Amino acid sequence: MISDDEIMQAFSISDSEGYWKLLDSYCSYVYAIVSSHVRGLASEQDKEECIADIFIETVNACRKQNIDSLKAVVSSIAKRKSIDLFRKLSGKNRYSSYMEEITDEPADYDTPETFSAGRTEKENLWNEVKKLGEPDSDILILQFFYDKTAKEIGNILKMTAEAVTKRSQRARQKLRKILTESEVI
Amino acid sequence: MKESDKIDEMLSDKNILDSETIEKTGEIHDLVSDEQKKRILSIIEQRTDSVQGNNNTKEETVQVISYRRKNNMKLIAAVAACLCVITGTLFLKPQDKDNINTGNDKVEITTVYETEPVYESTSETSAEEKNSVTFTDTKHGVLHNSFTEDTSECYTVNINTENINTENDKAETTTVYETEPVYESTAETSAEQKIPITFIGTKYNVWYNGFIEDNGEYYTVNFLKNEEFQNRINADIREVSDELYKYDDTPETKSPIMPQYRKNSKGLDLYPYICNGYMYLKFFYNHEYNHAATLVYDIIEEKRIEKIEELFTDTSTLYEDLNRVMREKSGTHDYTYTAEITPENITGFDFYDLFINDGSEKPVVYPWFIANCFEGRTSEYCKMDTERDMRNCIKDEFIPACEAGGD
Repeated sequence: MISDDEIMQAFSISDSEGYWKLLDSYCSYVYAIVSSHVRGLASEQDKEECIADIFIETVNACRKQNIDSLKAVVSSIAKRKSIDLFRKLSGKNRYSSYMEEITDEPADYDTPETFSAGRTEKENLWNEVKKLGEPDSDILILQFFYDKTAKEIGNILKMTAEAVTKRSQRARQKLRKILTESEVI
Repeated sequence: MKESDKIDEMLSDKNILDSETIEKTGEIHDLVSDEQKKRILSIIEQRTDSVQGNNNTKEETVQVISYRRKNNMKLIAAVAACLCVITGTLFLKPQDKDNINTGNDKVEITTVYETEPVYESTSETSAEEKNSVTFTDTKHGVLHNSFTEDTSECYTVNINTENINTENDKAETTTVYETEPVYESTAETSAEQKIPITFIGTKYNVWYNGFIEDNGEYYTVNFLKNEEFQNRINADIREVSDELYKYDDTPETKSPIMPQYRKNSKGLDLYPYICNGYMYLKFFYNHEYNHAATLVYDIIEEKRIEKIEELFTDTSTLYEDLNRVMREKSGTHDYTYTAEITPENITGFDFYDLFINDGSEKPVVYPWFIANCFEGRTSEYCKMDTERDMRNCIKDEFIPACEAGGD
């Protein structure tokens, strides 16, 4: 991990050098924050542009004042920018509707009870996922949350794509067993 | 709804995961590839450049206004910006994935215009003083600054819209490596070119890449104790490589091993996997990461496994079981059950994949067939233990099997 001082020193050599070091240190962290806010809405390209804006703003902020912790600045700017992007994208989708969605059938709304029950089920499931331990929990998070392919997960976790798929399959089997036994599903 | 589908559906609800876990994942793992980082850096560079460009424009505007006041002349300031989406993806795919080794490699992007921009001056100064038309590219648009003529009295818009035909303009990307890629080899070229043996992903899997050679004609296994057995394996590798290389010279001919794929001049990758006393060597066409062929060995018995039956203790119901499970699991993984599996139509196999030629041009791949078919009953049916943790294989089998360069 490169220290904040090293990153700032790199900026004194050249902006490219500085930005690269900054990306190297905080890109994954920022990517995770952005993904958590705009999941299912933003394309990879949208995310990349948002991340670029976050780093530009971070550097501008650092140049204006002394910063104790780069991570704190990156984190707060990332959260704010991600929410902006979320609003922008969700606003875009808010007014788009499709004719096929409009039917004469009464709307099938969730009651608060069913909504709550469903949420508890899912929370239990994710808790069990976390209990699976590494690398299985990481595989499922990267697969289902970050929508990464087996090959991409393999590259991240230094495993083969085959091993990733196999582990994912086994982990889900394990989950199914646990949740069936505990009568969650 | 099937239980498996329900689990997947529940896991797909991305709103349920707490932000702490999400951020932790981002801190622990490198979720962003080097290619993505380069793209982000490129966006940053473009945006910071355009910010500087905008500042210059402001200064110019101030100068123009004072000029107008001073001379009481008519000044027509026209600002035109053409934002045209440049289609075309920036292909950052490097020529050789092994060359991606420095964090300081730079991506240079140049736009190749379908038609050359026409330079026209509306000023009455002289032909030589005509300004060149400049297009400043951003990811999403073309900023045209063709009307900065310093010698004329008035600014004039002279954009020739016919030139702004970005649909057919192409973005060409070149990766400039900070250092030249280093090729190392275990081939008999020179001692200096020996590649260090590397274990990839040793925490969860055994993946040995000790014999990736760019200079040698063939990959060679160099880590087994029994040299005679090792020589036999290397002879097999040569034979399979020759078979695959053969189709390189006749591009119109397709490989009979994998009819839909042809080898190109970039050659093959060969990945060895070792588990439970077995080793398989998997050839890939490295330009597309397509499977080309597999060699399977029993490194305890020191023999090549040529038939799938040799992996099982009881083969009496092998094909019946294979077909039943594959039929049941059809559509649940990356495959669809298209044809009955018979000893004749198996074109390749390894620990994970089963290749079937079902008569269509594209062979069918049944992935993870052993795991699917024999999980839970491997001890009674299959010679290898698919449940076994791969981590143990490193110390129990892989390291003892390695001698030359194993450390």
